[in-house]
Amino acid sequence: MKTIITELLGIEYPILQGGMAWVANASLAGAVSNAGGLGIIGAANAPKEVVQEEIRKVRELTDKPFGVNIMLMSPFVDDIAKLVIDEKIKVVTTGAGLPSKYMKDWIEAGIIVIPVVPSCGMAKMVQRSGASAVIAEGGEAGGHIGELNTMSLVPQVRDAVDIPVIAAGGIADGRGIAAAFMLGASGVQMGTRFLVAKECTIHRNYKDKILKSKDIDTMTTGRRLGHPVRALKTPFTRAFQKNENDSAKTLEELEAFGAGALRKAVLEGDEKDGCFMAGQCCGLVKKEQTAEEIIQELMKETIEAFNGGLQWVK
Amino acid sequence: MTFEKIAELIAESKDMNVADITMETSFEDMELDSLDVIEVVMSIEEAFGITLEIEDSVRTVGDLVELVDSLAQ
Repeated sequence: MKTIITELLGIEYPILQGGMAWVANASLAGAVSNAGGLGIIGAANAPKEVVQEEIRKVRELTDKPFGVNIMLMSPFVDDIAKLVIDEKIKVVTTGAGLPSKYMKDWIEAGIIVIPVVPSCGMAKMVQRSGASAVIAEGGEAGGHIGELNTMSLVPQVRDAVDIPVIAAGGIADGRGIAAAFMLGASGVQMGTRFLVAKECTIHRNYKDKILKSKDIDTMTTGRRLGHPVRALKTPFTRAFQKNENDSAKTLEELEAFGAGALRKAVLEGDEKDGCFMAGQCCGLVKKEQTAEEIIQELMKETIEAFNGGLQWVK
Repeated sequence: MTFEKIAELIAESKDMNVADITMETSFEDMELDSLDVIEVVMSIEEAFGITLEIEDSVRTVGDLVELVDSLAQ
């Protein structure tokens, strides 16, 4: 399926795999890129050496395009910003802020920069700094989220900027992709669906929880901290909520309570203290498949959804 | 002059009473989050015909006024 996004990125299908912290490693990114999507390594809070190693591993797995997601609040962000230039990374996506101060160097190095944006204002800002496209991510997504939902955000961002828009948040099947296109997107980014890809190396418990989860099984915590996070309802998220509602707890105590919880979920499958981040579409994710099978199924469903678009109209 | 214009722009775009905005008022006092600040910055840029790079050190209306004045000179 050709769109302005597949042409921009040199990929076969307009599907990006989210740069999920601790999750989006070389194994997953390589598999998604080999399947014709854009695999993305999540640099998250990792130091330069770790990210560099993952980049090298992806290059062993595939010669197709892949990207690196840079989390702008990382303590190592300056190092990673330079690393992607040194490693001649083709595509960089950014999260958790405005990447303005790095954009000039990246663009001069020929990097395609695609920031994740939660509002029209931010979309306009990054367009001005030279972004090639934006990922408009709604609050249905897992992990750190913005206020607006995908349904409202995508068409407004579409109208606010001239560069291509990639929709994210709440998309787990071909119907979601078709709907995103109707809202003005020319590509999608998906995270939750890829959590259960066979090539995704997260702990067995994490995958089982996603496969078992239903529509109402996620919640958001951390609003008091100013950066809400969506994750599965578990003993950890309930305890966090309780602490958050307790006005005697300071912001520092809350931050400390959440520290390391995602790592515990991803690496150890810790059902008590782990934070299992997931999007609201988790209830749509029912089976484990290879990245190739996922992408092929998504594309087939998307075409079916397009062709059947009038089925509900009398 | 710069202050009055900026206070007006903030009051207009965020539906606030302009009389409540002083040089010392911080974004936090006004309950403006980072996305609100981006909106405000863009409206200032448009009104003054300048480009602003907002650092974390810019926290109050006074900081904004100072930044705009330094660019206008």
